[in-house]
Amino acid sequence: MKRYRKSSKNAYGRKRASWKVVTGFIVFQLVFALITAPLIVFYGPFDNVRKTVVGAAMTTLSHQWIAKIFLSDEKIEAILNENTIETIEQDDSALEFVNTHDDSVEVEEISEGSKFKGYMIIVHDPTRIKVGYSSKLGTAGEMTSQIAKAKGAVAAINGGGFTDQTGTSKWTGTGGIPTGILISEGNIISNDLSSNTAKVDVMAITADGMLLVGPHSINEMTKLGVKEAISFGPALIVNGKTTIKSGDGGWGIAPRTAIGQKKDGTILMLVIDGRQTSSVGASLRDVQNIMVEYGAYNATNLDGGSSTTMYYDNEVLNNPCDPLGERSVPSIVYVK
Amino acid sequence: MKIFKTITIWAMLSLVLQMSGFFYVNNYFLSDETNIKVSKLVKNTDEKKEAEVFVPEEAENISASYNGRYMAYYDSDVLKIVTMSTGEEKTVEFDEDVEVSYYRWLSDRNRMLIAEKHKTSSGINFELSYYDVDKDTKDAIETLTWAGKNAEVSDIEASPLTNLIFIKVALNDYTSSIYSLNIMEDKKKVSTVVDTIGNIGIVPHVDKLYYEDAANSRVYATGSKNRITVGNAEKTTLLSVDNNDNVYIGELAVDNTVVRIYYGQAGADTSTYSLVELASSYFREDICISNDGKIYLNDNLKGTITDSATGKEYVYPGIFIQIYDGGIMSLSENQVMKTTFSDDNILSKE
Repeated sequence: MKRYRKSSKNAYGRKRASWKVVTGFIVFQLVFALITAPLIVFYGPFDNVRKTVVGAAMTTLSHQWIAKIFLSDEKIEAILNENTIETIEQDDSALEFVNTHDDSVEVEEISEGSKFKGYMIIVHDPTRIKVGYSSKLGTAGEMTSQIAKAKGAVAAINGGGFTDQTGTSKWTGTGGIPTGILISEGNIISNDLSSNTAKVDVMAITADGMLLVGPHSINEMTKLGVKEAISFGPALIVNGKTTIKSGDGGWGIAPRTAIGQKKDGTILMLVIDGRQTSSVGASLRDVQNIMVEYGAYNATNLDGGSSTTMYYDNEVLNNPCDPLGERSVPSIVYVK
Repeated sequence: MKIFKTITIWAMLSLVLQMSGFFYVNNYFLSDETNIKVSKLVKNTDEKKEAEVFVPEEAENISASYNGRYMAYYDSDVLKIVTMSTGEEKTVEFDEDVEVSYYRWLSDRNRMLIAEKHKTSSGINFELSYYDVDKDTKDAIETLTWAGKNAEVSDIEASPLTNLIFIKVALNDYTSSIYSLNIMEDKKKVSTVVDTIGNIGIVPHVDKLYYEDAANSRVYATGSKNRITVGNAEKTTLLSVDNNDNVYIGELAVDNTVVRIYYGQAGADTSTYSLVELASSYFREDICISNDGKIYLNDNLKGTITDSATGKEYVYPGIFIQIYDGGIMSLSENQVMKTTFSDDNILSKE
């Protein structure tokens, strides 16, 4: 007599998992997620996720279609506009402080859970802040640590931006060509601005040690007695007011370098590591929030990404994110 | 319908997982608030004297980092890194199923590049990662896929200035291929005149690699099909490229020892190159060019390293391992020793 087995059972009466079910489960999960995840991202209740994905897609050159498939251009525009950064003109006469020439320099470690870690250097005498630059400016950059050592600096952060394209090959330039303006010891070292009245976002230090941020022209800076300057932005805190009122700043999450000044003249130099498993990075909003928490009255973003480097006491404190480590840059901001 | 019920359960599972994931990302990861923890930086400034460092008999590929602060070696299949001042040892962890294929210190920082060979179901992969010893941070760079299970990474050259990495992969005992990786993670096979590639040397400031035709004793550079000729040398060897982009090419005698050294700027006309005549001939491995361009000559029998420019002869104990910035690393009865280039270590002539 033939017995017909309805299901395969082992001695303990449990069903043996069949490969077909497992494979089916995996395939289903993948296909289902592929369909539903974009719907949740673009039409669901998670505003921050939608804003970040739209912002990231629209700032790429070739992947804007990711956002455009799901949302109309007007909707995309509205979302991007939530991430505006205000431009506030700095009141250049406001900051009056007595410089006690307090020589102390403090360093603090900052972290936000698993999202990022970084460092803040606190310098009490702002007249010690200078701009340093590569000895081969125009052709090749140098490491932040190298420029800092050559200047005998106690501490330094990377500073200004640059173009990476050389004549022969893209992407192998060494950070030697700075963009914007570079002023050191009262002299204009490098300038690619269209005129002396053209305004660019800058980080500048006057002879009295006041930090200027946001849009300034060469003429304005000369009038205010600026001794050191590099161009970068955007300004995050101006005259005690933040520039990012809603959203995360729209620049995504990345390594960041920033500088700020408190009302009593104390300078704050910040780096946040990114693009690595132990520290994903920070948004501009994060940088602004940190500067606010430290009491900055004026603050600006500086060149982030793989350039983000902090040098202190003869070594590089943070972990610059390039696979090979610290990269060469055209200019730095250092503490004499 | 059982299938309908199963699909519904699976769909609910997926939605629950997705919604929780998105909730976390939306409300914690991407929130507009920043909640930081702050602590004062503590630096430990105890500079101990150099500890006594020993390695096991079976230790292989012992090497020093660029400034001698660290030493690394293979103990069977495990990569160990030792802090020379304290003797503290770190083991670089690898997943199961991985053999370390190759490791290489960078020439200006205490960071190494590691190529790990993975056997996957679809073939052999090499995972390139870095390990920064000063910061005790390891992270992945890129995965490279090659054909052939006998392929091994046999050399890596990298420049943090151009952010270029060149990887030489030995396909068998005779032939190799070179691959390049740039900052945008573009990988390409480097076109070379020959595939019997010997030594390679990266030029720190420009996109150029020098390589040897090991079979015919010739030196080439990427971007040109012509061999690099120096003087009247018939057979040449690539000794090194230093941190200032100077290329060092040795002229070989019939017995493959180096009799003189030509050096000059990469890319410049070789008729402008300087010449260093050697008092006697040396094997290629006994000529060490430091990162700042000093030519050191090793004499194994005497146990000395001579600075060819100044003539100063430094004594080291045991067997020579390598030069680092400022000194010599050697192995004496399983102890790794460091000898600095100071006048105290000069061979006394009595």
